[in-house]
Amino acid sequence: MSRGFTLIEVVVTVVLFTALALAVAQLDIFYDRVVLFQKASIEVVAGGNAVVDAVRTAGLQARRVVAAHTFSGVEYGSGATAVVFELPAVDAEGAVLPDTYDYVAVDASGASAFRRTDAAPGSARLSGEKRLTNVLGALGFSYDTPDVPSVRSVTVDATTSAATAQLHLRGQVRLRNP
Amino acid sequence: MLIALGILSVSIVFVALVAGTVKGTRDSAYESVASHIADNALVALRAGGYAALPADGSFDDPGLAELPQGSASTSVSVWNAETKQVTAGISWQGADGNTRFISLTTLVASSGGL
Repeated sequence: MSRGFTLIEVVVTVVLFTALALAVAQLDIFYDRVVLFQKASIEVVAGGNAVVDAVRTAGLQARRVVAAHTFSGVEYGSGATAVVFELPAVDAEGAVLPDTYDYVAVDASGASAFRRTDAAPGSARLSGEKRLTNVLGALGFSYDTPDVPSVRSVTVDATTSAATAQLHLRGQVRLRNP
Repeated sequence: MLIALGILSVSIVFVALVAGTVKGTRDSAYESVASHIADNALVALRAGGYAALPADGSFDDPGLAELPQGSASTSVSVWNAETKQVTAGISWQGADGNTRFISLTTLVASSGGL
């Protein structure tokens, strides 16, 4: 004679499967949160490094800091929230083009930081803008002297933040080609 | 029962992996901060010039506040008669509790250079 399940057995089975389903759902929610946190942390670190490295790279090649320059019809000026470098233009072989200069600016707009390049004709550098990060919290520049043409050292403070992750990086660059 | 054990095992492995990656990400952030502190220190020392190179010792930097138990030091040694080797080292407590250390080294000449 065949035997079916008792009510108790069915109830226990349903409870067990419900508990397991809840556990799996919680695991999925936890995984999503971890992924978001990890993604935010990586963006914060990468963004901060991109900003500081952009300033450092441009500064090391720069001849001087200029008060202002126009990029694609918009003027950007060196100050507390942006910096504009004048770099000797170089051709594709790396040779310096006499009396020819490229301009590179790093500035913030909302939660984004940009590197803008205005390359002279014949320069190996490419004109355009590049978004360095879109998780910028704050961007500040300070100089060794308020007299812009005399600036020899630039300090950049970049704070990036996303979700619960935050990072503050400070970079200092000393102009080597004044 | 087997299903429950399977889910439990996967959960334990998953949590262990997640914990590892979170620690790795945190260490990456610490290392970025530390490398910039060291780099800034070398920029400052190079700017000061050969004659102003300090003796070995610790130095302070605002970025150290972002590193657990962060500390920074420089060491200066003679490279040759006209050149000194300067090293900036940063140590901090990593996410796993172990002490981490990075250092950057440069040469500073008594004449010329940048």
